[in-house]
Amino acid sequence: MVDFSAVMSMLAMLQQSRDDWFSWMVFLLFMVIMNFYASRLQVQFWMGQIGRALDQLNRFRLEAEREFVKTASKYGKEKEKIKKALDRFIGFFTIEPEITDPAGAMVKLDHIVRNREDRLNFFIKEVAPSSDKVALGNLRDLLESTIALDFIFRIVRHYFVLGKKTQNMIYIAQIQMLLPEIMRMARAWRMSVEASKLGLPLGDGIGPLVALKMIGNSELIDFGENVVGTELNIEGRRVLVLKAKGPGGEVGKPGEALKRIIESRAGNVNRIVMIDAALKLEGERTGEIAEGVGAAIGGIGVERWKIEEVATKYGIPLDAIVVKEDYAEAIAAMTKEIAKKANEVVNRVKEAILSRTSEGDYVIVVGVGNSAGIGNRLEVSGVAS
Amino acid sequence: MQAKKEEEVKISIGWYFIWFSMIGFLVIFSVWMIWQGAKNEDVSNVDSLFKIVAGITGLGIAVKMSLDVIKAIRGIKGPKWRYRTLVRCLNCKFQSEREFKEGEYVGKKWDDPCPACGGPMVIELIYAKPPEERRSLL
Repeated sequence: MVDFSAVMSMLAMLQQSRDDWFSWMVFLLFMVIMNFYASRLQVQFWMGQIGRALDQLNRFRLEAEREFVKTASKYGKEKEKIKKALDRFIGFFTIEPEITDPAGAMVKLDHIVRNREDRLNFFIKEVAPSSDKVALGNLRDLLESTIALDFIFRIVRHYFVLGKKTQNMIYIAQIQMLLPEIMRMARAWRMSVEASKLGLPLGDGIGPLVALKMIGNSELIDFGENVVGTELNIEGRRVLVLKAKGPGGEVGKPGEALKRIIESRAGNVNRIVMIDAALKLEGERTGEIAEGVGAAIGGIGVERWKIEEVATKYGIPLDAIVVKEDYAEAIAAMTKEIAKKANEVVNRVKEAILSRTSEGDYVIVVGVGNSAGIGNRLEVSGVAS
Repeated sequence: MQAKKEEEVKISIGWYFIWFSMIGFLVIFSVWMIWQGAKNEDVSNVDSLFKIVAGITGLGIAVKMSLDVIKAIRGIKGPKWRYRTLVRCLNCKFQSEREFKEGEYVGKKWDDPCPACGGPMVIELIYAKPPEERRSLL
């Protein structure tokens, strides 16, 4: 039987007999130890947290690699060969161009981005030789998610090992404080792996989804740069609707396509309406629709720069309609609350066109985003757009 | 820290056994403590009170440990999202929701005609449903 009377009497002794030298010695010793070792204990506690997170990140990246190998092996190559090729390619990086001399920086960036895309496509063709365009796009998205998860793991591991080596509280504190956000991003990439594997629409695909709903079953025009579209008549306005070519994972180059179209019309465009997913602030509702002005397009900035350049050159007003979602929702499979907003956005676009343009005007609507899981038109005939 | 190999990252049966043994032992010990404290019927006695408080704390720790184990297992398996395909008839607006199958995409013609009017059907939407009703994705 456990008897706590000894413990209780010791506590009482510590409280009551202030002049008891032994109690004071124990207390002072405890204070001295804590003074020197409290920070070290804290560091050990943080290291434990980071270690557990690192284990989880390692699982995520291995899962992603396994999924990539499994999916790519459907297209004509053995798993072992794909695994070996992936192990060589997983550290793939992109060096941003030097911008100390900013003249021509965007052109250089555009070149590097195209270069990167070509390399990724080349790699996919190497490991999945019989993949068609749709599978290639989805595999490329899957590869990018795998690379992202591997990169997150490497960064966290770097600070973990550095902290362990140096026992420097600052290194460890930095990564420990960022850990919740890092893990949130990693979980989002993990969900993105599943979405890309199955070819599901992503949260970022709300722009192409809206464009598809506007296009209906109209005949398509291929504008190159993986951009397709059609011309509609909305109450006397000629409306050209553009989207990235689906249903594979593709964002296309809407900036380049838009530039070519506007130049070919010698700037005779009255308005550009862009639809995209936008990052919401915490507290904002997912799927909230907001309107503004400017080129609504994310990414590294090259496509936005092209649109701004051509719009400024010909003085074309730029309208933006965005659907709010957080980072995780944008890269993972599209949720119901985002998907259900597509019809509402279509109405907003029509309202914007009717209220801000006149009959006979030429308007371009661009649905910006990833076209994974989203076709180019409704595949049925005899239905009006 | 070296990256672990794929087979090393699974939770072994041994770990499950250790976890559940610890939780079981803690629950039994806590209940015994509470019983020891309560059988005295004198709550003003410091020793009895201490045992009851310690027992309740032990049960609290056991609940927390169980939740941590469930969380760890869920963390490894990942939340199970369901992917749904919404098909719509273009004539009568009849809608039907079903499980997503690989190869489907929005705008694709549905193979079967509308059960209500026999008209053509297309995939209207494809979306992810969270494991339970939650507002946020993560």
